[in-house]
Amino acid sequence: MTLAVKLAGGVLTVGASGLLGLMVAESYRARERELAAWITALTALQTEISFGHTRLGQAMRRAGLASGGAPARVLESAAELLEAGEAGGVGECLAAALCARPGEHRDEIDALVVLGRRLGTSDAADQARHIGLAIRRLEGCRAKADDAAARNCRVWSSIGFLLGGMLTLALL
Amino acid sequence: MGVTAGGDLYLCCAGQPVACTEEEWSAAVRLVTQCSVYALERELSAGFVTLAGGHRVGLVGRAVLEGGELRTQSELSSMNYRVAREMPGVADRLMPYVLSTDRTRVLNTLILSGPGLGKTTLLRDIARQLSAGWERGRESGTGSGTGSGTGSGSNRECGSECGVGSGFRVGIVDERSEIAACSQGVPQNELGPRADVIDGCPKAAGIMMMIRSMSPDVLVTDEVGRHEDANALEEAARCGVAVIATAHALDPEDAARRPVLREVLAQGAFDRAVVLGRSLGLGTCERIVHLRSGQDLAARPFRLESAARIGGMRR
Repeated sequence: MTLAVKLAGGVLTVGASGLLGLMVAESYRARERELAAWITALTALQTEISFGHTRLGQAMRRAGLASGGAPARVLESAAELLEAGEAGGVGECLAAALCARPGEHRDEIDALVVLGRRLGTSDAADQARHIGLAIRRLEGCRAKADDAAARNCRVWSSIGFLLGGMLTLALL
Repeated sequence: MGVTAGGDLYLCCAGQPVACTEEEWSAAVRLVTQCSVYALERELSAGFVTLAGGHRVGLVGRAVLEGGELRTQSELSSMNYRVAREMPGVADRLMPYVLSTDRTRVLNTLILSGPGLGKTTLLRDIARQLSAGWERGRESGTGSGTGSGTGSGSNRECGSECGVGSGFRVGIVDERSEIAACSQGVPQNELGPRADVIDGCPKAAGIMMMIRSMSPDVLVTDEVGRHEDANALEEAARCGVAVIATAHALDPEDAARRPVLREVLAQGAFDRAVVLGRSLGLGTCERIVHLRSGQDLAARPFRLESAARIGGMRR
């Protein structure tokens, strides 16, 4: 009976700690996906502005639809603020939309707020250059995130189970 | 709204300057441009933006030139708001002169006046009445007048022989977005069910495109003044399309002193000239001239009035 309880406790410990490890590994992959989604969104925004000459509110919504995920929610929210006309310029609207989502990373926030200050203020060619700069900045972040994910995903996937196993052995 | 040499911003409200802040100015620019300067390059190079509702905001700032030509403007420093109000029914008294006696044909008509005397307002209402059918246009003009739009397939069965009751197919070449006041492709002014609008297109190219693509009964365009406009009007006449146009001139005699208008009048491109003035106040029809005979068709000046006043441009 005691052995059975100990075994059950051990399995639970290994399972819980393995799950924690998998969650940490997933967070690295999620960061990669989110940066990829932001790059897609900004590329779509660049197309809407350069070729479609679409008004910014509508362009942000369409860019969000193209990327999906977190950028879609942020851009939709920024477009609403922009069209309401009460939150100030594009930079302020984007900052407010990003701040409403605490999960966003500093790198994205910085790149987008800097871009937001220039969005909609100049001709299409200039806008394309500014969006291109933001995309390159996010691509740099994505390269770092890729490296981090490649290094850490496999480690965290197994380290959780290993630590759980070690803890179980120690307790037994 | 403008900025002084000292950098102070002011809002000229009913002739009185009122100071406004930098933030208010930025907000005004943001609202007018909808934070989309890139989408308004054509409008900025023309110097005005048309807002939803047909209102126009004149904008001037620093010109950006490319190859010696104005490409756009930056550092906007002044705005001039012109609030649009339609005047449905203002052309009621003129319609008998614009249509042939049997009401089956539209006569080529040139509306002449100096600036700000209501040429475009009158032109818009003539277009609306022709498109809706004259009598029907009068009824809708005094009513609510909803749902402007372009001709659709279901509206296109009416030919030139239709006329008063069922209306004409009207092609509007709106180079400066003043007639239909399209905002994001949607006409903001009531133009009846058979009006097709080509917005922002140079007149000569727009007239040819409209003739080829939409086979209108009547072409409506604003401010004829260039040689290519005259050629396009001649082409329209050759195709049997009636033309209603406006031009800057005080009367037919003044028009005949201007090279392009002289050319147009010499070609016999127009049957009627309607002269607007202000002898009885703004919106006075001073003369209606039969251009071939030079005879005045109206005995005396009369006011062009709208039963339901919505329109005209007001600063």
